[in-house]
Amino acid sequence: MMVRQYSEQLYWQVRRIVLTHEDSNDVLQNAFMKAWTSLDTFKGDSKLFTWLSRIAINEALDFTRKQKKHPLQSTDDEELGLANQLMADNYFDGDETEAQLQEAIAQLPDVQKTVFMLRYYDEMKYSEISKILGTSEGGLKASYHIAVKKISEFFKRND
Amino acid sequence: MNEEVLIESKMGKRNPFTVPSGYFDQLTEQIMQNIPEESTQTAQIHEIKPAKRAILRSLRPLFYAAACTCIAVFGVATYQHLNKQTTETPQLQSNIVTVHSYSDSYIDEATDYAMLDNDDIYASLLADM
Repeated sequence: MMVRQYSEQLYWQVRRIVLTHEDSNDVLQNAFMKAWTSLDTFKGDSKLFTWLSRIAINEALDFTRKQKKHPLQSTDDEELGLANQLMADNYFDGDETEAQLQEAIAQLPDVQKTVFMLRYYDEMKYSEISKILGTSEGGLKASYHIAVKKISEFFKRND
Repeated sequence: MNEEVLIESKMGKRNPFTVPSGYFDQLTEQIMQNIPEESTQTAQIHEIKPAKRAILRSLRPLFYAAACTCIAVFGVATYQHLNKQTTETPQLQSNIVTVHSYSDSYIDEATDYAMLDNDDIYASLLADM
């Protein structure tokens, strides 16, 4: 029941960080495996979804960090850049501006990127994000403000 | 925040990412296939625990009310018990007074019987001194 109830929401949280469908599917599978095997550690002091989000987002961020260290793409793909890779992706429905925006977001530090995704797209409360990321609400508000500033500068540059 | 308004006007909240057709319909089954059977039983037990904790949390006001009622009943019972003790003690004192009265009246009767008047009693008392 837990999988059925939360899998789609968690998938989108992962996808916005990992960007490609195949990688997101793998990360989500790993996240649920980890959740099942460490269910003993869930103390009920937060909502189940919050706990699952923490696992899924950490898995997604770990994946992107490993990808940066050991990129699997060919040198041709690297030269294309992330925006162009997204445009070539069958499961990306955006235009060039949206692809460039995703590239700008992907370049943000992990906390700024994640708090922006959760706050802007999921409209999550800071208190909830704080439980997921283990960061203070004040720190999250500051990170969000910086992320918003950087993304708005991206739009001003591309206008 | 003006910058947030700018972002929303430029990109809105549209999701540019898509998934293969029917992906979410089979996602649950795909995940469950990868999970070992033992873990599913443990998970069912753990899903019940948070629910149980939530029930206990909702019953907490009732527990507080029951505790307050017990304290109030105990307090009233203690007060009544102490009150009962204090109403009994004047009775004892009146009994003591009664005994004294009895002995005084006895003495009066005795002196009448002995045909002694007060001067004789005072004289006998002074003689002893």
